[in-house]
Amino acid sequence: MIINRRNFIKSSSLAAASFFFPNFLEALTLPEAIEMNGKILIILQLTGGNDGLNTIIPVKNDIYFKLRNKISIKEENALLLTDEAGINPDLKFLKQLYDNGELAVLNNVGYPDPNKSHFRSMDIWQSASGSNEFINSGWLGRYLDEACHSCQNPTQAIEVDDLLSLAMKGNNNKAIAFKDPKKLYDYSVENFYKKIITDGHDHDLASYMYNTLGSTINNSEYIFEESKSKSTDKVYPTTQIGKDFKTIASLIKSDINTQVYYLSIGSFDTHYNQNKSQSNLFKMIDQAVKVFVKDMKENGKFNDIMIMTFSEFGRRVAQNASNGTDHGTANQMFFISGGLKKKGLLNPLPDLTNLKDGDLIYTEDFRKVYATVLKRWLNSDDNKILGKDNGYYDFI
Amino acid sequence: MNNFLKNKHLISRAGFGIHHNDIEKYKNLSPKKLYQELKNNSEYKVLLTDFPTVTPEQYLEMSKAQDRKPLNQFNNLYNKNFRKSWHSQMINSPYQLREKMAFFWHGHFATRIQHALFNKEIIEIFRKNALGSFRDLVFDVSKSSAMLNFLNNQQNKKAKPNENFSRELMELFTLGRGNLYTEKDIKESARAFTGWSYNELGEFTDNKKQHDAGEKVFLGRNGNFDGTDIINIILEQPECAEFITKKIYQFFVNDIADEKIVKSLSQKFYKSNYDILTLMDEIFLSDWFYSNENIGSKIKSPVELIVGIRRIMPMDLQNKDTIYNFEKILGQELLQPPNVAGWPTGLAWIDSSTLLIRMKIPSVMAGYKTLDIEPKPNDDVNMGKEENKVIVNQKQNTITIHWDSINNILNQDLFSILLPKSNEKLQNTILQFNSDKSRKHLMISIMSTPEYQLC
Repeated sequence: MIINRRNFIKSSSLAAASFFFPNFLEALTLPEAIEMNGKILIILQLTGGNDGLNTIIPVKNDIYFKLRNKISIKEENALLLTDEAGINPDLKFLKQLYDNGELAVLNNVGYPDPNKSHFRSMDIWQSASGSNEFINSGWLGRYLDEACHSCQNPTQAIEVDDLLSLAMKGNNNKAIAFKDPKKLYDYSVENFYKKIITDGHDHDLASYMYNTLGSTINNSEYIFEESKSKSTDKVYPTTQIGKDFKTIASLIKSDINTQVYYLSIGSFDTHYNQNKSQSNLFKMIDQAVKVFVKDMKENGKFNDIMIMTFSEFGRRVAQNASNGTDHGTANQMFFISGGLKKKGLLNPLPDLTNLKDGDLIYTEDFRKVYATVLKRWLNSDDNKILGKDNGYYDFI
Repeated sequence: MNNFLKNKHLISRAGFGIHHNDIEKYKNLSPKKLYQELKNNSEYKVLLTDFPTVTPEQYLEMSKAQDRKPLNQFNNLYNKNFRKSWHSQMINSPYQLREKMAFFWHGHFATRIQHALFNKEIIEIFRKNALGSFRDLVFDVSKSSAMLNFLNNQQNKKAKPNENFSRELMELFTLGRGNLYTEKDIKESARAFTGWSYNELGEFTDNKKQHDAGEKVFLGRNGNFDGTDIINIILEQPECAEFITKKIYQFFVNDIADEKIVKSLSQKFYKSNYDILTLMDEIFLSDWFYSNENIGSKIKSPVELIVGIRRIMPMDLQNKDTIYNFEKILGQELLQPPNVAGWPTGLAWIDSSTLLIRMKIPSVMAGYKTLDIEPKPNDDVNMGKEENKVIVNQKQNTITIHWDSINNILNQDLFSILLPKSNEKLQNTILQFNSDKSRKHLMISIMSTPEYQLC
């Protein structure tokens, strides 16, 4: 695989230009720059604050039904996972995954002093900071810094989006973002850019930008070629998330060696008529994940792939007057993979008798989840990336 | 270095970049004279918006309604309009120094709220006190509804102190993280600020019933301190002057601070009793400000980039929002700093996406290229609605550049007008690339370089 990449660079139209990028090229040819343990992590961000209590439903809990007289999901409508818990009826495929032992659910994940602003809480999750800390880098970006400290090889981590999230920005390395490989290619492969990157630059800021530009052009050609080479034959839904999973599938099947993919769907900010909009979003996720998992299984890759979901916060336990819910605190996370060590519900459902101002009190810290994923899935130094020891879970 | 280059450097830091009408003037004026002119042109006028505001009483009425939609809608429209109005001052106003300074304070005392009237109030505090006394500024901000609301000081009560405000006051606004103070000082000063709140009309209130009048120990001193005492004690510390001076230096001069210069500046700032203009005089009238290492040493923030383009290249927008959307996708929206620590700076602005978009925007404005980008959703504003794509093409949201009004520029040395420093190699490459193209095309090409991101 390493050979492939080196060959690609030699043959690329930038070969001449790259003469002027000794560091950049050298990095690409270093084996450790693209060495990986074969595990792939896909982060699915549920933007807007998904209502966890209508996702994994406490079907026997009177408090739940009392506080949500209009929007609660009854036991007979939920897809039962255990005596106590059901999954939302629009997550049918996730129920199948659960039955197959390919889904794990960690309930009641959050952090101390929760913030209810979408933006701020999302920053806390993406940077893995405390509530009172302000960190300008993301946890996956810092993973890139660690895993890829000597290289400028952002195809290690890819965000399927026009813009890059904080989560994917490290202090030295940043992931690359694109909605589809063709668009990135069209945006970056300009003759003018190719002309100007061949000049040397002595100024630090300018050379940083020229390096970013050079690697973007180079990577965009590479990614575009790769994405075409193994375009998937599966029929994915035509929804945005369907397209995004299709892009990821074709890249996984190529030899691009990306370890982290990041995508998002929203908005889960369901202040009004929640059930309809949540249901639509769940259907889109469920259908896309269904095709994707099938695709990966047929290619023998599902054991090495894990999809992890998160949202910036859950919602209040009680519904509001508009048949919606307002911003809350703790929430569940899903882990979907053929390679889970523990499956099903990993811990008890949230305790609805013990609330703080009407909100759930988190019992699991999301940084412990990150630590687990970094250490046990991505094989990296979580203490360094997260700045402290958070302990580990044992589901992977 | 000639006066033109120096003046261009000065206006890119003490303002938002060179204006297309000022080219000839900047060739002849000395930087000292130009700075004097910028100072003379710094009258304070309240921003006018063409969207009708409401009185605090009317706002209160709206906020009491069961249906939140009209209130959200008002906040969105008013905030948008207010942003527009400030933006247009940054482009057109001769009061460049004041607006640039206010822009700095907006990132320093950062609040991110939706309440339109609170936003208006705090931005006007920045604009009014921009070049005045830092002391007044700290007091006005600390008593503003926007800051009290954003840092939850209305919940800071005798029975249950909330430390949020006192923590950020020291960590971000005055002393710097862990500098001089301890966790204990945060707790004690939080007690002193108990009762600082605002009434339902947004006016500051000092609620004696909620105030803890007991004795506190703060920075080694004992007394029955209240909020005013705490701020005064902080301002007595030379470390406060040093922290602010360093931040101003990094914003206006160079991300890498020259410790010796900062030290000497901060002593003067302290002695002047925190007179901001005195500090700015020291910076902009110095020789070192114009030294080679300080020119082109900053990456323009998205607002600086877009406002700068509009100052040099006048244009009409089919949809006025397009321009704010450019800033949004590049990561900086006025009234929406990411958090209380303000916007990150320098290389934080640059990644593969934002760099390509930055380099593409001038061509998009000129109609050579199209743009189709989906911004990250902002659910704090959208309330569950989808984010609109930012699209610019021949049919939608077109931008018309007034080439006629910059004819005089087109035939001059565009490189020296547009880039902070001369770079012969880059110049040759661009000239070669544009050999069979128009001067307009050349101007756009120069603006589509990494160097153009610098100031």
